[in-house]
Amino acid sequence: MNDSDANHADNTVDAVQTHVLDVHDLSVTIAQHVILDHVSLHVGAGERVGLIGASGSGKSMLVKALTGLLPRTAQADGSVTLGGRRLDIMDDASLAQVRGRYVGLVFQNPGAALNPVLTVEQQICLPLRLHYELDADELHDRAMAMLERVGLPSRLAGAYPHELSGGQQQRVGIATALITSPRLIIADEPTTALDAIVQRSIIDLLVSLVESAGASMLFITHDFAVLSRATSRCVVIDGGHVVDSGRTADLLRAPDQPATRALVQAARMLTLHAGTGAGAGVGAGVRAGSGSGAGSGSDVAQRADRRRYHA
Amino acid sequence: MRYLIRRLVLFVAALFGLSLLVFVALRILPGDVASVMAGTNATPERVAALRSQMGLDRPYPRQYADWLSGLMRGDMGVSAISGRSVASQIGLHASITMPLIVLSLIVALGVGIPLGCQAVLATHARVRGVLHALAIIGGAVPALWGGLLLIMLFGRGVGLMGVLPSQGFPDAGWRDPAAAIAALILPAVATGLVAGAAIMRYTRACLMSMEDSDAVAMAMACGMTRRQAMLGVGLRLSAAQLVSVAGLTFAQMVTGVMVVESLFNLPGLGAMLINDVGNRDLVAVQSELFLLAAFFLLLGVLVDMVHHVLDPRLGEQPEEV
Repeated sequence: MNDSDANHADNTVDAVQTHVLDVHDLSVTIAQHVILDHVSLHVGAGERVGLIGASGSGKSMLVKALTGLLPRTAQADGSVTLGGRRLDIMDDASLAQVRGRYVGLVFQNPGAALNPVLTVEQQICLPLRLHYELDADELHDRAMAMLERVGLPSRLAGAYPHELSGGQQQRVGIATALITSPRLIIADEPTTALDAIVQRSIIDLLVSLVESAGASMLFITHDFAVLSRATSRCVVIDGGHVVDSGRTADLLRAPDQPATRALVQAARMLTLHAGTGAGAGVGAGVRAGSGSGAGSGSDVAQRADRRRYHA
Repeated sequence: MRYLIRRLVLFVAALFGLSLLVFVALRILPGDVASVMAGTNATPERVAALRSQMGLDRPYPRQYADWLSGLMRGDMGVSAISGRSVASQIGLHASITMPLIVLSLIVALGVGIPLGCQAVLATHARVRGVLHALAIIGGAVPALWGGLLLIMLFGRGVGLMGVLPSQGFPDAGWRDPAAAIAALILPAVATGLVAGAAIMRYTRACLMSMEDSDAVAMAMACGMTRRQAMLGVGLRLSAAQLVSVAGLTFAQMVTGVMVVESLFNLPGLGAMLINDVGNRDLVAVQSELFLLAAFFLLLGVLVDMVHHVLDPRLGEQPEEV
């Protein structure tokens, strides 16, 4: 990390106060292969920002870079500031104090991410055990309350991840990320492994919990239909570069960058495919919602969901 | 519980199959055991008497039933060569081999797992490289050569630092536990270091496969350091594989320590088996082979049970939730 980066972080106190997350000129290289190239973005207090890009564009690597989960072979450069703390200059022990406490992560594949030898309750309580000194009763009470908030029955507290459905596993993942009331939630394609109906309920749950907690969210996806339900602003990443950014609704309505256009076009084709059958209704397009969360997704997508639900 | 019962039933069935296999295999071998044991100058009367003494003149089903009922009572017959009870003979030799294997396994696990972890977790790439090279070199060194080296370094009376006995087992046996353990240290280290190198490679491979796993990333996301997550989650999730490797290593050692027993002049199971097979002592070999194979089967059952304890995914079919 060079001096100018340090100065940037030190001199942007106002930005730090309003931005929960501030990423400046972040580059990641693995084996001389540039994965992220001078990426800058910010997430304001209470803001839900989407990060969208095609597969291999560097989205997940950015999540890892933000949270100190990069592989050891990776070289990172640039600054990452979370709530006024420079994460990029922290050692692993200091980063561990931040992860799970100030920033919660929701993983793409909860079936692989949840520890298979921990029960649901043990899993949810893990961040609390690592960051706070609470007695067993308090841990239990908090876990039960969290289970209720994510819509899981208390009888599942003693279940193991493999005994749950994909949607239930993701609810456990969300509960684990939110149990410490972190300032920032980073959701890395949390609905990719789920079917359309469960996708919607998980997004709605995540948005409502993040909103009620007053937290900020960085939502990573490659699906604009999902993004429109969850975020108000989004950043488009392609080939490790930030190529576009703006209000989600605006980007959906009038994408002017090639990468954004390609993603929107792909979302339209897929949505139309699901909603009206192959080749039908070309040009109808995706109607972007206001981006204010639940209920703001494309009408076509909603019709498709209903069709699947009744099938 | 259902799994446990099913597994035990299978184990007992396998034991019966095994006993039949050993019995038939030894009966279809060419040559008359009684003639061989009696020697080339023995009279036909002597051979017949020996055959009768060993019960070989009875029909095969009767021989099998007698042997099996004896096994169930712990009576494995009397050796026609030594005249001693086979069970006590096995017990005597096993009292040297089994502690040797346990000590070897302690050395193997004590060296292999921590160094295997360090080969992945060490901060400096050079340290990781050196440890990896050590694992490969350790696995390539034969236990016999390692044992010789240990004798030359530490063997009492012959080594540069002659601090430990390197030949034989004390006459007092386990009545003098300090001397008995001292006699087993060098052979246990020789066997354990070779097995430890293999366990080190397995540990390293298991942990490396967990390094970029979502489960480790999730643990770190909850607030663990990389080291905590690798040891607390990565190693824990690799435990079932490592238990399998430890079980296999243990089983291999039962026969694998024969060479080391011979080098250190220990009268263990290896020496007993070689002698009895060479003497065509059918009564002894039959029971020894059966017990050896039964021991392997038992280890398999124990490893499976430990797997079930370690990994809840292998448990009973879950209720619908």
